[in-house]
Amino acid sequence: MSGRSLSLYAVLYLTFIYAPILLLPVFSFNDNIFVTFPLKGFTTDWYAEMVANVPLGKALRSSLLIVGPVALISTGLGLMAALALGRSPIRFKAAILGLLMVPLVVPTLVLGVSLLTLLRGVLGVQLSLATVAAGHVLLCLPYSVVILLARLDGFDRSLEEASLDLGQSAFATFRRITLPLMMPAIVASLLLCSVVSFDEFLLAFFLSGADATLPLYIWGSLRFPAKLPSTLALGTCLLVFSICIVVLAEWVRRRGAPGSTAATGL
Amino acid sequence: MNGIPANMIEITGLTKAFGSFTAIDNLTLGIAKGEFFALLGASGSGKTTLLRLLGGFEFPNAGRIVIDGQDVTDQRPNQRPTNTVFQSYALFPHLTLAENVGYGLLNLRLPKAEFAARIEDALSRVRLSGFGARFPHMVSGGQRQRVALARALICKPKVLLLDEPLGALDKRLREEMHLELREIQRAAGITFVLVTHDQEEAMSLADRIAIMARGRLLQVDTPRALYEAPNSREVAEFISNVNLLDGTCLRQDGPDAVIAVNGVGQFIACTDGAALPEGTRVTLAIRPEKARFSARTDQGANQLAGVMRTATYAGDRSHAMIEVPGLDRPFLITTPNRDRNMSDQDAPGTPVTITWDRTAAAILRD
Repeated sequence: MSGRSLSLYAVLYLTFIYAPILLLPVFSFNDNIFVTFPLKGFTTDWYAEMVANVPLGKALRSSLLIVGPVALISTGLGLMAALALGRSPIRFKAAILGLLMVPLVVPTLVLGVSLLTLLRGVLGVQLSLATVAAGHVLLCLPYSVVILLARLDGFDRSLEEASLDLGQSAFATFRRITLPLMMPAIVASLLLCSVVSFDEFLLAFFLSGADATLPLYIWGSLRFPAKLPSTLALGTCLLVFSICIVVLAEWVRRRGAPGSTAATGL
Repeated sequence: MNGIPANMIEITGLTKAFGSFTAIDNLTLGIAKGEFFALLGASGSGKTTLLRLLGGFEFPNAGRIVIDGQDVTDQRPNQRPTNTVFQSYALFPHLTLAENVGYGLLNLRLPKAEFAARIEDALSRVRLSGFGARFPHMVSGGQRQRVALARALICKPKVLLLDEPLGALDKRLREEMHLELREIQRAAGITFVLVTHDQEEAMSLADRIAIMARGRLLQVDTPRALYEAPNSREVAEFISNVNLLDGTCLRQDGPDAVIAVNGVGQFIACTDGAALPEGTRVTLAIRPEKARFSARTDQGANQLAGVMRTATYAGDRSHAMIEVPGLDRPFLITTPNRDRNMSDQDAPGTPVTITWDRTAAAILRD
């Protein structure tokens, strides 16, 4: 292929990916209740409407309420699993890692139905944000393990041996050496789990009780055309927020790369 | 103990297996106080495993390790009076050089001023004063090496374990570090155990060297004894080049033995006082620098006729490979270049006579 057709391919590719996303901010400022061209005029009304929307605020709060615990619990469990797989002399490591990765390959739909059956049918648990959070932990755990294990495999094991050799106990070695060196991966895992949980629809759909999460609210509001523009405004806010998160995560990851200055803020 | 000072390290019957692979095979060894001891062997010989067993990073399947009279076999690295300089240096990348060096002092909970003073003292000892605030990636390989040394020595260990510490440095830096290591070892009076695959390094640093292969010790001796009086073909061949002639002892003649080498001739060699019964199968080991050759017939205790195959000039010396009828490998001779003029006997195809003295060849009995 010549250079020109490669460039054309690249342009088409990028357009395919980004054009739909870029339509979001464009229509969120368009002074028309119907999402069609031509654009009519500039307005920030939809943003005002979004802020004034009480159920939306409630859904956002519900989502934010579970994001923190989900990220912390997934990363905590992931760290323990990664340490067990990467540092302890347990057997069947490949099999254990494979089992931990199962939520990645089982369709979320199947996961949702089986969790609903388990929680309602077998255990008789009342559905709530807590059940959504539990489902999200299940979904986030494989991501967390993969990120943390990669970092653990990536640094010289003799660093930990040197710490033991210099008189520190196994726990002090974990606190002074392993944890600081893992910190970039821990931050990355927290951010990724937050994004996964914030964005997740299917499990939330199956497992939520009276309180809707933000994706559930957005899906519900699409049935009412009048609400569409303020949903676009909301989408634009989320878009800006996600870009910030991705940039932040990448920045943290690069700071932690080998050969860079201090891997952590110690 | 017969008046001999007690050993710093006593290893008895040590065995370590990884799955079906026996890395250390029923090994017994004593290392004296203040000795600079080198473990020399090819990769896979078990030398690094032995060092890791001494440091407490691996635990043996059988056998005991006693350091300074204390059984440390089941002790973890942080309980042992040993410190290690790792092959990769293992400097903590998120800590400054000063924090790295001071890491071993953390448990002592020293007053701030004394803590800082001891770090500065340790850094100045390895000529790195003023580098304390830098991070490991900001200094050169040689400097990192010295930080690793300072960090390991600050706890004043009874035994310092060094795992190929100079492997990553270039030749000149390595030679500088040799001198420094010896000086530090003498000044501190600490027992050093060095793992290396570089025999020159082992020779120039160690008081004694253990040659390892297949998890066993082939020979433990001074560098001179290993080189001049190896106890087996394997050791003779591992340490530098050697010419080996298989033969049988014909008779003993005073301090010498007469050795018949099949199809080549008879040679006399000093037995170093050992009794050599008639008919013993032996190998004559002649180091390349201990024989000489000439285009003329030479006067010497032992003579061998051959034909020059190749001569290689190497600056301070030249290496000759001489074809000898009856030997399956060419005879190697190294000659110091005492004269600037090239010798005419180096041309391939020139018939030459090889000679060596009766004290030049070692008699191997294996």
